[in-house]
Amino acid sequence: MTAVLPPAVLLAWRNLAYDRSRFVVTMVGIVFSVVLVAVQTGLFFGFTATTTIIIEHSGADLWVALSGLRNFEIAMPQKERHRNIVMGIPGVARAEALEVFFSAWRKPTGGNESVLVVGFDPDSGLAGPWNLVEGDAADLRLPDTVVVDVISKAKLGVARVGDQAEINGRRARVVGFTQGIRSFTASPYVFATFANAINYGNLNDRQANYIIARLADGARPEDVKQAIRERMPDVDVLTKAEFAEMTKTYWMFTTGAGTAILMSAGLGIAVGMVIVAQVLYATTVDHLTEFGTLRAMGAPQGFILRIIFWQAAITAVAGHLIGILIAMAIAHASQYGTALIIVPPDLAAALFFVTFAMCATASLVSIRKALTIDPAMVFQR
Amino acid sequence: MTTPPAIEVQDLSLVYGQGQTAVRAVDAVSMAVRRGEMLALMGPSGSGKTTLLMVMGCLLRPSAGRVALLGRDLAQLSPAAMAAQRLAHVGFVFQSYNLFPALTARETLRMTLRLKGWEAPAAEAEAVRLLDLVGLGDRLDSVPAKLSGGQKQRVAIARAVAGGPEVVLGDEPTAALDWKTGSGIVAMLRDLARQGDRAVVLVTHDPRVADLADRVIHMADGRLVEATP
Repeated sequence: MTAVLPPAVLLAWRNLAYDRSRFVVTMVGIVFSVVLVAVQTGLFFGFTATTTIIIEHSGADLWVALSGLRNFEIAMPQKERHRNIVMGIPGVARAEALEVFFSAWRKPTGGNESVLVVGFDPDSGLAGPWNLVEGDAADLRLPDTVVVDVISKAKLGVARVGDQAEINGRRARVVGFTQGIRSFTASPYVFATFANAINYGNLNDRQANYIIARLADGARPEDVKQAIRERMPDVDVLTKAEFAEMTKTYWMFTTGAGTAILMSAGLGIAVGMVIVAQVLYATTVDHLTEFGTLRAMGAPQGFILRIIFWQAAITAVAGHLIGILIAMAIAHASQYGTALIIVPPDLAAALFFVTFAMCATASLVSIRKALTIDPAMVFQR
Repeated sequence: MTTPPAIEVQDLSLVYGQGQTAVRAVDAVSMAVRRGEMLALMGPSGSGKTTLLMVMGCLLRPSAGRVALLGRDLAQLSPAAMAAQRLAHVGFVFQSYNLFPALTARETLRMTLRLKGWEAPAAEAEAVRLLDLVGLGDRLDSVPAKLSGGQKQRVAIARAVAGGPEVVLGDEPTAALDWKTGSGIVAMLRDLARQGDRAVVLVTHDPRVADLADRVIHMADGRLVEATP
């Protein structure tokens, strides 16, 4: 097989494979870097997806909240009659109230946890739970009933349908479990009907955090938004996409959480680059006599550069493949954990170019060294 | 029309350094090496023989004088053009072999030939032929660590003549070898000079080389002091 390899590729591969322990160290460095970057970026994607999970799955086209809204979790109460106003706007097929508020969950085994109660209209199911794996969502129409996610079982101290806890001192019977509905905050989502949520929060039933609306077929969201604003100047009206983007931006960048994750990813690239640079440089220095011999034989500088480039490329491809497989395994395992890591094919592909650029950049130090080789050196040893 | 010498040196000088620290390594040397002849360059350490070899091999540019390879003046060539001359016309044999530890004998030859523009199938066949020629037909797939000193030097010789260069330059090619092996290597180089119509120049302290060489030139303090015959 080696007969058909271009000479620079053959020598690059053999140089790497000849010193196996060094190659393993190089691989470990690159794999570590790829995994770190992939997991950090995957965490970023996971967090981003988690911050907007209710919005994206709500089925609502428009969200109406009091002015000053910055994220999904925190919205000031508005008058419930806003629902009627929205309902009367041409182009709105359905409008309903949605309650979202933090509350205290008392576990049956003792101890409290903060939860985020989502009170939705069971008639439409907009912003209600999905992907139910245990129980029956229809049971939520019963008094004092809730649905939580399987991920939160341990945290909330419940294990099966029928288990009971308390929200704000009021009984909360679990009638179902969803799978994969994580909260970005440390407070798990607890789904209840609007009526039950009002009771859990001791809230005024003439108020609601959100009015969510579904548009009629053919209605233009911009026209409907404009009409709502004209009727209610003190509210923010956002499409699903706008609200999701606002919430993402708030949690990821306004709070600095996303910046920290991205900085960790950047650190991963930097660490990987330093490791690769060191190893490639050491490999180049080790093979300096061979490069000098090649130069003495008359090999052009481009040939030496190609060897170093291929060394970087081979390590990049191998390191990326191994690293991305590990990262995907971690991402798969994260489906059952509290922190979601998403490593989509697009990210894997993009990271290949990042890894390649990292290795190519790291090889520049070696290239500089190789370019200064005096071919006469081989006679002076 | 007469064929030009493989290597022709006229009034050649090479000075290392500048000012008070300048060292005149080669001083006004004139000589020529014909194709088909093996020349031994002898002299004490520091006499300038390796420097002269490097100038003849297009590795160093002279400070003064003229050096021509196959009739072509090297003085005005760019570094890239000098490298191209080396690749096309000069083969080197080194004292410490300078083989690539990670490559087998066959791969070393094949890579050299590919570097010289040979296509892969032809390079493969020629690599096997040359290794057979130097008596290593049964060690094609051995890496240097699995070869004796003599075998390594034979791989290096095969590499030096791969692609048919007209000039082969050797720097103490027998210094690391025992008497018998060294004699075999010198005889092989002499045969390659005669049969391949190429010029072979060997820098050496080894009297066996002088015995087998067609001509011997002695150097001291950068100058030619004696030539035999």
